[in-house]
Amino acid sequence: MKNKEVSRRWFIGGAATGVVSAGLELSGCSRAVPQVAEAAEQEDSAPAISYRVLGRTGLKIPLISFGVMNSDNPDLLRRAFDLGLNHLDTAHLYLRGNSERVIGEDIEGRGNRGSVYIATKMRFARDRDQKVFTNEATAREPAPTEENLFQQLETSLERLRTDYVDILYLHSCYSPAMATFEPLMSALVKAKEQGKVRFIGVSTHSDEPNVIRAAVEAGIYDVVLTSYNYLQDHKDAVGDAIAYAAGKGVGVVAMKTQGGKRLNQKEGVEINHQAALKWVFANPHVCTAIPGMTTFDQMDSNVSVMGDLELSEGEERELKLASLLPGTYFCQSCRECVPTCPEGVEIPSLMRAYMYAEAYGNTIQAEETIDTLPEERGLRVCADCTSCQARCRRDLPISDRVRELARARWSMA
Amino acid sequence: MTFAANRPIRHAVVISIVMACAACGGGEPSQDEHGPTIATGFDLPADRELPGWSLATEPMHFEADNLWEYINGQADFFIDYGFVRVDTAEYRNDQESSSVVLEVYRMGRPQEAFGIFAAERTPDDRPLEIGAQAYLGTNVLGFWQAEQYVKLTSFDEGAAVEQLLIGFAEEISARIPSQGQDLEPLFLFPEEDQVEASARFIPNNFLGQPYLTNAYRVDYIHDGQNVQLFLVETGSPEEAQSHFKRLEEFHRGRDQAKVILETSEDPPTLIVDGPSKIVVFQLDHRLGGAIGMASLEAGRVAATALAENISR
Repeated sequence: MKNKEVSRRWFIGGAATGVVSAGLELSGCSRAVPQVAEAAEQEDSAPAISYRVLGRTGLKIPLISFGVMNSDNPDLLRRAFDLGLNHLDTAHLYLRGNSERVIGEDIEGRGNRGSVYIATKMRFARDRDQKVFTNEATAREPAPTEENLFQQLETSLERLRTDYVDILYLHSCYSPAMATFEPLMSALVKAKEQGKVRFIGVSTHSDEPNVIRAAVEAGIYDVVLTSYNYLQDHKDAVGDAIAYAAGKGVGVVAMKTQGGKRLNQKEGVEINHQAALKWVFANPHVCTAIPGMTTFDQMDSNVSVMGDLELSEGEERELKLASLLPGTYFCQSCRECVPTCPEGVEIPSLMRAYMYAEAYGNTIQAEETIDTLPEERGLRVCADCTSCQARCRRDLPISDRVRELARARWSMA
Repeated sequence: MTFAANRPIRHAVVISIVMACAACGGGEPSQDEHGPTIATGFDLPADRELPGWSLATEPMHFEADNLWEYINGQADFFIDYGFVRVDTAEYRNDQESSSVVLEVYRMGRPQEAFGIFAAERTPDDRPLEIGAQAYLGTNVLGFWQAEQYVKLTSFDEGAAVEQLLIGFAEEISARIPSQGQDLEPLFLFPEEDQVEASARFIPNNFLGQPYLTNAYRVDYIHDGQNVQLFLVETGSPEEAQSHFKRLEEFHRGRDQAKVILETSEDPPTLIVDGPSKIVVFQLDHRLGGAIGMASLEAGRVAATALAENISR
């Protein structure tokens, strides 16, 4: 896409100095010495491993943990253990339990259960629009009851070949209401009292600041697992919530630290993975991150970050540029624009159509996206409108884009 | 903006390709000249189209950019396996008052459909003959056929539900026009001692190496010893040789003393006698070998059997 290339080069050449001097805003946190316990340990030529303590759990965990989704290569687990990565994160649902199985088989074969911390997650039926748990179970998500939590837990323990997990999360809480859903909170506490779970927590990658605060205030959770990366619009708010959690003794684990494969692929953002991790660890309240790793190179690269946590000027510049690109060019579907349009046009979808057409030259997908919209909230409404009032908080030129879409759409018809 | 400027002709051509592909019911997804893969959907059965089944929810579809909204943390894994699009809806059976969620995942290639099918298959599942291959779990049935991985999940359990799932799956299988082709590399694996339903296709990062793609792996148990045999397909003998060399260098970099290159063997064989034992050979455009064994000798014997099969 020519415009994007031009603007990117222009920015690198003309504006980079300002980026460096401004530095990255790190959620209001000092980038100085972390406030939680941290130590770097190194033996001979092995890479340095830095540890932090996971809040009130007291678990001493390397900054890099292992998100185990992929069950393809057990040797990566062996390598992780050899490097000293002792915290594995998985979920009950992943690959119909095969992710948990591969962990269980490996740990049983190695006989190292006592030196490994296993975290898993339980997921329950939810109303995605209302962002609450619902008793209307789906085939993939059971109703949110104590019975179902224990049923999932027993199955996970069997797959993991252990009689306890170290951390059990309520999987993917969209809202404070989900994080504080009483039947599941009491079930989690019960599981902890029975010794089947050492610590309990919530995971979230939606409305994270409020979910984290609600979880902390609930008083029962030991850990929160949250999305946290330099590409987030609301990274400062997430950082503040992380600091709040840490202040209350709740351990913080970061996920989606690279911004997510979806984002990277769709928006063509070049990710400097090491820099992205360093950005996360510059927040001293984050104990550890759980990047998925499928190659030895990735693992070595991630682990090496622990030996040098300082973001270089070049890395800061790369992150800043990458964080600006999506925001300056593409809609992030925050939906704050929708109420600003008197007609309630489905603007985020139109902006997505624009991205397909402009960024990828994919006119078919653009048209398909436009055609899926109901007529009364679609592009035709914009075409008939003479005074666009819609506003984007990121200042995307909504009216220009819908006008171009309309012109393109009907000039082709 | 490029959308309107000069696209009409190309647009019409691409549309016709998409329509042709939809009409022939399969094949590779269309590719826009400059854009990403265009995801053509699977026509889910309409309300009452299948006798005794009504639609309980509106059909939905997800693509790579919003798959995480549907399957959360698993999205990246599916994308690694060539995910293109999923179409899904819930159906209710009139007589049994049971509901079934149908998910049709369209992957980029048949081997990727097999790959994600095999990654989700568990040791507790019962193999079935639906599509190319199928599994039946407690309340779930999965099968792959051509580029599709189809998954049916029920809310209930029991023999009656199993029959419902099987019947529904057969209907869906019949609606997929292409039966697809056999995955030829899997026929190269020795049959003796093969663990049933253990075959996998691993599209990327096999053995943790980014250059090892398109790998097949099968489990064996011989005299109580576990071995996994593998095959990696490359584009040419030169490419295979290059990968072989890189693998050797990787292991020598880890522990030179544990690596042996037996050039007197036919084919030349790389042996790594470390904590993870590996036997690797290069034959024509393929790498093959054995992993996951406690005894190096067991791995050598199994790898030799694989090499002989390939050479025949």
